[in-house]
Amino acid sequence: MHGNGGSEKLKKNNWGDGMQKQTVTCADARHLVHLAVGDDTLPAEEQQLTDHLHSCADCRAYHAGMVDAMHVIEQVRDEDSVDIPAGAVWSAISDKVASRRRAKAVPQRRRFNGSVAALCACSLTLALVTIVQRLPTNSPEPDGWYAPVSATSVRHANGTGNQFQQAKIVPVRRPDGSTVWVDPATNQVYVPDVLNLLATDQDVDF
Amino acid sequence: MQSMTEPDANFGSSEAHAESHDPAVSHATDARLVDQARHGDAQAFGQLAQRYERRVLKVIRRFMPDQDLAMDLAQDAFLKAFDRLEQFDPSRRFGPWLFRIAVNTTYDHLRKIKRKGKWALFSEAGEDRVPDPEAPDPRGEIDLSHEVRTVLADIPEAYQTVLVLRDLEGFSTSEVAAVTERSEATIRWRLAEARRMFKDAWERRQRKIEEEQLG
Repeated sequence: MHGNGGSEKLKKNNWGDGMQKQTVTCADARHLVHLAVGDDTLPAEEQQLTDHLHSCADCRAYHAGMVDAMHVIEQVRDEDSVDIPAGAVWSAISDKVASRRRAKAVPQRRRFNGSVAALCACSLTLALVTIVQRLPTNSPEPDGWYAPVSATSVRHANGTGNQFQQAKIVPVRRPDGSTVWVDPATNQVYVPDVLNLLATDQDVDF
Repeated sequence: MQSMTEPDANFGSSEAHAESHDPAVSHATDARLVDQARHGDAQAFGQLAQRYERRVLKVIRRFMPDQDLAMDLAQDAFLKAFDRLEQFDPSRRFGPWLFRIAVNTTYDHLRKIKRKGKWALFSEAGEDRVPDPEAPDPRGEIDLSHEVRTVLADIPEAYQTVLVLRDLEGFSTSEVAAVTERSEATIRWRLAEARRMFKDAWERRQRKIEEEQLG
């Protein structure tokens, strides 16, 4: 399909005056033909194409076919017209544009975000449970009954020299808010001001 | 990139320039009108619409011959443009951006039609399309424009767009490059390929018609 074999390769011809002139392959020439029929070639390309067409009958035939195809396009280009009154599109959409503009102007309501609401609800519930757990109970306590707070140990002399006896005592809060220390084994009450609390091991020396 | 103050309403050909003689359309630049429209001035957008509507409609009709449908698509394109004005880069020209929306809107519609057509093959609707042998050959009524459109439809979209804008609508290569957001070199290459495809398809079609007439 392509033209004479000699024109298939890009080659340079030496002209008598020493100038070199580039010629193009048939494939390149046909690419230029596609552009040339719509006046889309550069001047240099046009010259290359003209030179090639002079020497290639196949490409001349191809060029003629391309011109015919372009002629069809030109006919269609000239016959098609738009027969609508000026401003028809705008008059059809102007109301919609105005309403969209109003919609844009109104600040959009924030969307309800379910996950945020659920997270808030969970947090509130957790906070509520924590608060309720820390509230003092209103249940009546029997007289003489003291609520133990925590346990510690006391050492007291057992009356046999330097030996000390270790006893567990627990702090007990009285109804009036004061705290006393009680040995649960003996129910002996220790007054706080006689206690000498050791910061290190919470032992109490007597 | 063109100057912001340069009016670009004559995008594609001199026809749109002629439209600007309409007294309803002011001589404000596109950039100024776009800026006003972005600040909520619907009338500014109206001027842009009136400036471009015929060109947009003409481009759409190259793909969609039905005038009513083309009108609907043109309206869609302008409404989309209005909705997306915030996304428009003001350092660029409005015309190519608008034509891109119009072409894409048209292609979206054509794709929908194609998809519906495929589904119709499996529906009963296809049964009505059996040609009546007694009916006259409708091809005699088919005009050249329809023939060209049929051939164009077989060309891939990227090439079809270039061919329509350049050869049927008279956009320059640089304008087609701006509409399609491709380099001019790419457009030149696509244009050459599109013309080759059109030539081949046109000649095939002509041969087929001749063979049918002979056979």
